[in-house]
Amino acid sequence: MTNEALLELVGTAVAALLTIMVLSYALGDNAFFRLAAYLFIGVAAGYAGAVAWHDVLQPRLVAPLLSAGPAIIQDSSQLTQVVAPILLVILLLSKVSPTMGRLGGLPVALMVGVGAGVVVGGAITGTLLPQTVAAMDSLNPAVVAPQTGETGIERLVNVLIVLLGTLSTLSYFRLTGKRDQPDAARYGTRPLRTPVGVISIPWPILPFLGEMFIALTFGVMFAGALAAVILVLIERLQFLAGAANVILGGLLPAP
Amino acid sequence: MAEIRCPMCSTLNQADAASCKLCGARLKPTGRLGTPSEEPGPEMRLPATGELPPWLARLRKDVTGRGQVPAEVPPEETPEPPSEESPDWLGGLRPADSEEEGPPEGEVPDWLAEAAPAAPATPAEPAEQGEGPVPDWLVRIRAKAQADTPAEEPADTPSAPAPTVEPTPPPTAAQPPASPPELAAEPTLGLPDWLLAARPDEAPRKAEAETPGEPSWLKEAGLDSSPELPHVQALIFEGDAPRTPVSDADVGPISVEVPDWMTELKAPPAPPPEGRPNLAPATLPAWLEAMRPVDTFRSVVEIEPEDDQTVEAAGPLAGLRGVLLAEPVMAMPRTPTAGGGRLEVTERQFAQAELLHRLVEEEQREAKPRPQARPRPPLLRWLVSVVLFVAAAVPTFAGGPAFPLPRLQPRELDVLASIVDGAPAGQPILLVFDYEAGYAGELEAVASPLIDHLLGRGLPLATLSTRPTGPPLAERLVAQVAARHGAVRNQDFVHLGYLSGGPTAVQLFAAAPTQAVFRGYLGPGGSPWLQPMLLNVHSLSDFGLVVVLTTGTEIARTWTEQTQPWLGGRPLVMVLSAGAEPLVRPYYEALQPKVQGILSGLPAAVSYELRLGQPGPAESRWNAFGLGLTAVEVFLIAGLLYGAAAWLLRGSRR
Repeated sequence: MTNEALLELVGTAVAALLTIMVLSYALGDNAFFRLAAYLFIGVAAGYAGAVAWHDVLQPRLVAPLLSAGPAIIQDSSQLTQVVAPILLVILLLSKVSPTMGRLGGLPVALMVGVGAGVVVGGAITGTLLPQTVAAMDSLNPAVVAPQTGETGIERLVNVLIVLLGTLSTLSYFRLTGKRDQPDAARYGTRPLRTPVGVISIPWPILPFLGEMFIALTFGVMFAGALAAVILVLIERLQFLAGAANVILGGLLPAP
Repeated sequence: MAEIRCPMCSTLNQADAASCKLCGARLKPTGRLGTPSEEPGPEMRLPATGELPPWLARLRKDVTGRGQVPAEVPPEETPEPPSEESPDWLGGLRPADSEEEGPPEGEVPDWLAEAAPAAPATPAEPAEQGEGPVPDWLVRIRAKAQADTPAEEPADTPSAPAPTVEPTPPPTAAQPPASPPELAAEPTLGLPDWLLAARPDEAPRKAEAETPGEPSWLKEAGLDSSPELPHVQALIFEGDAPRTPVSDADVGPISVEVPDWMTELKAPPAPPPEGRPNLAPATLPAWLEAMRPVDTFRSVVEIEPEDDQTVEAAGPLAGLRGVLLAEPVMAMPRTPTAGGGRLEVTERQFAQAELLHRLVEEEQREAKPRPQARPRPPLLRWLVSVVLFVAAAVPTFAGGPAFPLPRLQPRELDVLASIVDGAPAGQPILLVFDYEAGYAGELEAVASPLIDHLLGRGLPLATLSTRPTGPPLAERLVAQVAARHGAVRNQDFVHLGYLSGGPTAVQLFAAAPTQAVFRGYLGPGGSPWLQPMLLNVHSLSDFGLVVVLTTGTEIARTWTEQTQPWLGGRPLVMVLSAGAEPLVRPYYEALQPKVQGILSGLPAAVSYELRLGQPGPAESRWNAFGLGLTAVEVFLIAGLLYGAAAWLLRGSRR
């Protein structure tokens, strides 16, 4: 057995052992689960630090600074791409000092301001306006949906459902209440005559429908998350089965 | 030679005499007489003997046998006309009535005659007679006192008869303030007449009622003391202060220094009569105790040791020690006795006070540690875990049961396949691996057929991640799929590595990819953009297709929002976890979609593999997935039935 094969065998055995330790949480909180969790947290943090140094700090700051030396000050492009970031890093490191911590506010403000501007701008142009337009879809039965290919009655019904769901959900999020009845029930009842008799329906009906739409959405998301974890569990069990074959096959002599 | 006048009997004595040669009263004050301002002025000194009222002079003559006291006065004490020079406050007093002029000539009160047998006075009637004949002048005084008292008597003492105390003869402007001997030892202290008239049932007088020498009116007053009066605590009591013995002169609660001649008049203490309460000294009668404010009155008059007592410096009591000052009684603020003595508390306030008291007690009470309940084994948790493990493991290890593969393909799968088929050859495909390692089991199965399709078409792949753990996950999946197609790393696929900076870095990468990524992952070294497959890439639109593999809606939204301006018409495809699909689908189903392709869930992945004709990890997990979902559905149905049954049971109980 070569070193690579032995290393792979040991790695597979350690991975299987850690998998079992994590799955032992099904029996309750125990030391094996905690040991595996702490190990994963430590390894992930260490790996993230190594990646930050290897992919960000060293190639973007340290390497240009060392290669250019003191002449980097004379290079205008390096001033903005290397020197300015280094100064910001130094200011950010001053946060650890109680007396000079205020100097770290400048890079923090820069990061927060730039990040907020990018996110808000993208949300307005990429989500808010397009989704508002999408909610006001055409009711023309002749229109064909570009992605799903829906058309005719099917698309019309789909558009109406989307319209009703949008309006009812928006009406659900009303943050007002009656002045003299702050704790009043959100919905009342109102009799409605139907062919099968008089039934009581919640009133106002629109926020109630919005609540139902929200509940359906959460239900679908929960079902998707449940299907995802079932799939992850299956993948882990398949790994354990494969690991058992590898370990037993590696340890047992070949026939 | 200078002489001083006795403050008690006005007898002139030698200046160096310590006590009066007649009555024995102390002539020199033992305490300080203070500053000259405290020296008695001429208007406050006693009048000369010649200015005494006739009845007092007559009494003095009967007692002492001296008809006239020399009217010699010290040169510095030259008397002044009393009427014109008397103080203003004396002028405001009412003139003495005829009844207050004292006993007629030749008559001396019994108690005084009894106390001074040596004096050549008229023999007094024996005290044992009790209700014997009363002098006329005293009868007139009693009649007047009884006529004045009922209107001012307190309403809560109906059983007590009208007191027969002889009223204090007020001094007048024409008549200098001089009192009979018994009144001089019983200062009124400015108390109202009705209060003075209500004093006959005091304890000292009851004891005096049995003495043979007491006056008839005192005996009568002593009989009025109700034996049922309860004992009450003294208003003024101080353990350290010397207790003033109860004297027959009835000084009451006021402690004064009684002259020696007065103390000699005290009758021997008689034993308490049977059937009568033995009132302790320094007790108050009930009627007076009832008038005292409860819990709010604090006496400002305290009995001080003899050495600390102030010597009166002016007035008829000049030279006496322990005289009760008028200022604490009259000028010091006190709690009003009427109405304000008790705190009015309503029931609501009392209840709130009780509640507050209870809360404070509970806060102060140390919480006892509850005995920890014996932990119950999580049987339900174990049952669910075992069922899910069995459902997922049985198909994996045993190979069955087999669930039918999906025959209908999702509608979006055709769109996705057409996008992949329409990707321009030669242009690299950007794969973004933005998911955590925990979801690798799901996303690898879902994305595997897509990567398989891309590599099957011979499209070069470039991977990227905004998470530090993304590059290894990309290498793990792409290398696994590439092995089936013979693709080689850094030739057919390249790992751009980690993109730090979040949404800002995504926008930066979309605008200028080569300036956002400096070093790849598992590359030959140097910039990954030097790879032949990436030489023509300068912007995001240079990629033939952008595929984002993610489990979070936020990451999908970030890539959708930040890359739209720089996509240049290139399609954006999302490979999602099943839980994130509902929130990303609106970007896909809009008339102007922001996401052109979507792939989510194991059923879509199995359909993709079936479409490609290459079974992969998705199909290998199909049976276990089906059995596991069946177990989950059973649990959901069981929980729904349990909830419905519980609701019905609660309804029936109501």
